[in-house]
Amino acid sequence: MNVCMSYMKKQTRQFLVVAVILALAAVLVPTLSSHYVITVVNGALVFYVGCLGICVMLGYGGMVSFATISFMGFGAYMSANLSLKAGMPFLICMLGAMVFAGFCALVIGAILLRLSGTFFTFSTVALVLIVYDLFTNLRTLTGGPDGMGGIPPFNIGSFVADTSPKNFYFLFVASILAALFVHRLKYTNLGRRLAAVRDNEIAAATMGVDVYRTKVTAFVIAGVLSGLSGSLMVHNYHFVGSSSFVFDQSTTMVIMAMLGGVSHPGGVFLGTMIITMLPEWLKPLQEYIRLFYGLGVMLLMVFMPAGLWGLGEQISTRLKERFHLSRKTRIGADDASPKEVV
Amino acid sequence: MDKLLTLSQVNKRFGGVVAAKDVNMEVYAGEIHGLIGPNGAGKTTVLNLISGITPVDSGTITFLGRDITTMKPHDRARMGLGRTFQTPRFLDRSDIEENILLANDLNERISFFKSFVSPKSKTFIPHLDELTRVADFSFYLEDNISSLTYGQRKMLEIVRSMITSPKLILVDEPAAGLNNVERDRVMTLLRLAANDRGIGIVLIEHSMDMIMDCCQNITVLNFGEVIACGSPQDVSNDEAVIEAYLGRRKDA
Repeated sequence: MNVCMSYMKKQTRQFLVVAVILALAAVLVPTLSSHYVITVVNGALVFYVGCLGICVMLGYGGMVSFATISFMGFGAYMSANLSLKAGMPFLICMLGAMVFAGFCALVIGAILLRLSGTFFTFSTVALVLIVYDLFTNLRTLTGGPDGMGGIPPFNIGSFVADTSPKNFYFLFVASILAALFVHRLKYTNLGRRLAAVRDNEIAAATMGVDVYRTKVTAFVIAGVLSGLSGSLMVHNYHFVGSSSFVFDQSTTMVIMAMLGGVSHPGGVFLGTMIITMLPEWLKPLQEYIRLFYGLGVMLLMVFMPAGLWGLGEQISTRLKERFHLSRKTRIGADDASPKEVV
Repeated sequence: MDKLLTLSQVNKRFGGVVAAKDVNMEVYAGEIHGLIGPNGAGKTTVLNLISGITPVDSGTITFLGRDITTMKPHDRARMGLGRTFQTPRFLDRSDIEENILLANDLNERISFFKSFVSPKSKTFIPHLDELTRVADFSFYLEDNISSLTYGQRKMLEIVRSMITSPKLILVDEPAAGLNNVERDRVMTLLRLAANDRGIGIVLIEHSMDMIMDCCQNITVLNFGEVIACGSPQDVSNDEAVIEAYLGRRKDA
């Protein structure tokens, strides 16, 4: 009982801290930032939702997939077509994009996930190249390189996002909901199955985990998140063109997720923001930006394989242990029944 | 006693190596069934065939009256077939709690939706505590698997398997690399599983003391073939077994 209480308290405390930070961000970002910065942040939030899919695949399930950008494309074009050609309201477009991207992920994932490890990763690279070619050449459906323009903004009921701050509010809420879902997912039985698949497939199978099915499920969840991200993208920019879905972009997304810490939605958020803002901050170094970028990624892999968030967690665990702040549940011999050590 | 597992005429070849040849074996509820033989006799292969990690070439495996010969490993696990490994296999990057929760999932079978709404089940704690006490070790639930010693990991693997409420556990060399005290604890744990809970156990072990102490029946393998089967006394007096272990006496 005592154990449960302290757990609840910790949860509530964490929840309050996060809520305060988010509320501050919601108030401060649109009021203090220039119109330009808000637009950049909006773009980052769009990609953040897609990167959450990488969090599920790579962070939870240990599968490196470069296909996120392709599923964003599926979602984006579905949303654009539903909106422009069928005249559907935004919410229907968004749902349609998620369902369509999820369905594509199911079909493609069921095939590609028969491969394992690096073979799977390479097959997703090939997929991105194929899908990009399709987007460029299926002009009737995608508009090709010229793209499709005039896509209406986010609107739900009487809320119409006709300015950047309004776009920001909408994207902010959408990405928080997506992040909460992904965060919670980790502690469900599916999250544990994914961790088992990541760490030891044979152990997973002996614990009754259907390895293949678990992988496909993760791929579909990532697909749905990418589809959502794609839909947010077209309604944020009011435009979609095939050049958004090149391989280059998908490596950027993987780096975004890795830099911040791929196994935590908060880490993914840090990474997405840093990678998006970096070109803005390093304007004076324009010609060398890729050099620093590359060096940064290398150093990251050597010194912080778990990303910035992982580093933060490591430090906080050390501090807690140093000052005996961690609450632990003792199991077994020494003392009377499982008791809490403060 | 109920018959849990039957292997009949099971064969497995790896290229030119015969790992299992016409293996027949029966395991009953509540018995500890020893599986012994010299190095390379195919003991672990037989466990892999039973748990489905490697597919059989021919023959049938029946578990709880169902033919499981072509069934996937996870489906066999869901039927109540547990397994531990020579070198313990855990979720190395997760804490002990998550490892045990995974086993608990197999026991409780809650839906994804339910686990999404209320993720952290604590119902397994009394059971886990009881088993850990029997094995006489202790740990913090929130610590990483790497904080346990090798011996504790081997014991926790058996405990984890018991948390899944299995009908049969395949135990691969639980005492290898353990000291005498730890070996006794492993034996206590296995006896608890078999005697008190009626779980069938297939035990591979090189320590003959342990095999003779706790097994009701023993199957002896050599070069993939069953050369003897029966009670510890019968087997230890069997000519073929003595020959396989000690070699043929050379008559001058």
